[in-house]
Amino acid sequence: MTGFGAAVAVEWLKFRRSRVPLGATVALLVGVPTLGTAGLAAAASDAPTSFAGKARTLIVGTGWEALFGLAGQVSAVGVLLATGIVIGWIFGREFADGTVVGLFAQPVTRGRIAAAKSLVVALWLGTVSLGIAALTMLGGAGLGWGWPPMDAAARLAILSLLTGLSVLPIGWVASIYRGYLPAFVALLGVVIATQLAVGLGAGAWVPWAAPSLWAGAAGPEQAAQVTAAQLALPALVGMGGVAATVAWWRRAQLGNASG
Amino acid sequence: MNPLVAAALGCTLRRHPVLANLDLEVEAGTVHALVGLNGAGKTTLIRLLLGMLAPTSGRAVILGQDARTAPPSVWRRVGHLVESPFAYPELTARENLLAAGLLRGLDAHTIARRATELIDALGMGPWADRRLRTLSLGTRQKVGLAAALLHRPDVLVLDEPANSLDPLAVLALREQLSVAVGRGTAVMVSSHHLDELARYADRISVLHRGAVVGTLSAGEPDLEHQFFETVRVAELTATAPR
Repeated sequence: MTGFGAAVAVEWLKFRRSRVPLGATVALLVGVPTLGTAGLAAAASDAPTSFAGKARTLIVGTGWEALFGLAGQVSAVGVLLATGIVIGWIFGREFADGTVVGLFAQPVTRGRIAAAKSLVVALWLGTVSLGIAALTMLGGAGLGWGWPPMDAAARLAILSLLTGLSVLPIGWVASIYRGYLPAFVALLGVVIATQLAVGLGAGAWVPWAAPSLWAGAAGPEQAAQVTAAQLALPALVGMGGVAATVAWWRRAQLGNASG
Repeated sequence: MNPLVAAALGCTLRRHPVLANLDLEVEAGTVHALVGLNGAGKTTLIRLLLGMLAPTSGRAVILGQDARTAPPSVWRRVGHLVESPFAYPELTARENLLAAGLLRGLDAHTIARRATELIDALGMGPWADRRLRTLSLGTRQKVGLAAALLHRPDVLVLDEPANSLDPLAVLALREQLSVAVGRGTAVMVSSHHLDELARYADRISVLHRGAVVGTLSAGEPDLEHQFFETVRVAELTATAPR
């Protein structure tokens, strides 16, 4: 692919120097393990705080099982919002900053630039998902629990990855509406629609809910009922979103204003 | 065929005709300027010639290829600064030029060497390693100019290149255009600064209501008067009862 490597290098340069991805990374790597560990510690204490009370309602089981379960529920929400913001920003910022004009009339095609952006976000998501699981393990080790169960750690990493993949279509929204604010509105819409759909009984067939239900957000019984096909949905939705985004960029025109 | 050709070019946006049957060519080794009132169609013409927009009728041809379907080998030979400069606020000037050079297919060594030359030529030395977020609009514009020039293009398209530039930078811009033209680059410039265009343009076309309505003689005095007279006549012709 002509110039794809250059596009990835340029997108990675912009990505690692920007505040939005940095903020999302810190929020997830610090927030998820900290809230998981602190929630468990608070629930185990006799503290009459609302945080401890909330944590007790979310915790199932004890020890590592409880920690990964709680971290999974926090991650399902956190990764959804953070990845949605990052993918919406990486496409929408080009329009908001006016830099999109510089991506036209280039030897690297716009479709490849869009693919490079998606790849950078996907690689970031994969790394952050592993980081969340690793730091949660460290948190549990800090509580003196010894060696963690690797299957639970892997489940946390996979659910984070799947959750993030499910919101990659937000990049398409940022592209067609030419900015990150419409993308953030769409992200909010996804959260609300998911709540409604799950409430109406659609369960794990809702791609944005499947990972969190698998993680035990609605209890261990529902978690056990989530099928592999339902878990594949978030990844398929993500791939569909990337394909639609690349196709849009390939055909994109700048024709909104005349000078 | 000349490097930039608009042949019977027409463009309608949101049912509003922006360009109609426009013919224009830019020869190699010359600067062809576009002047016109706001809404005359300058930016649309530039977008069409750079393949950013598909024409409704006619053809936009760049280096012998249709602008909308031109292959990467064509775009490797084209530089542009249209509307907003290629200047990412989170990157330094040097990093922005690295990004621009990589996209144009240059190797890192060539990018570093030419970036330093352009940073010096455009007077960006003291700020070259600071993030653009903290720098002035003028510095961002210089970065955009350097990004357009970095790969020594055969076609250079600049929309209001002197925007936000201080007088010293305007001199540097003139020098860079002179060097590019000396190399045989075909340069298209759109600007409202008639005095400035008079200093380096070989040909000045007046756009009005989406058509070329005349040319100005850069060598003759009172370019402003020539411009307004051309526009006035065009306006009278367009609005005269038939």
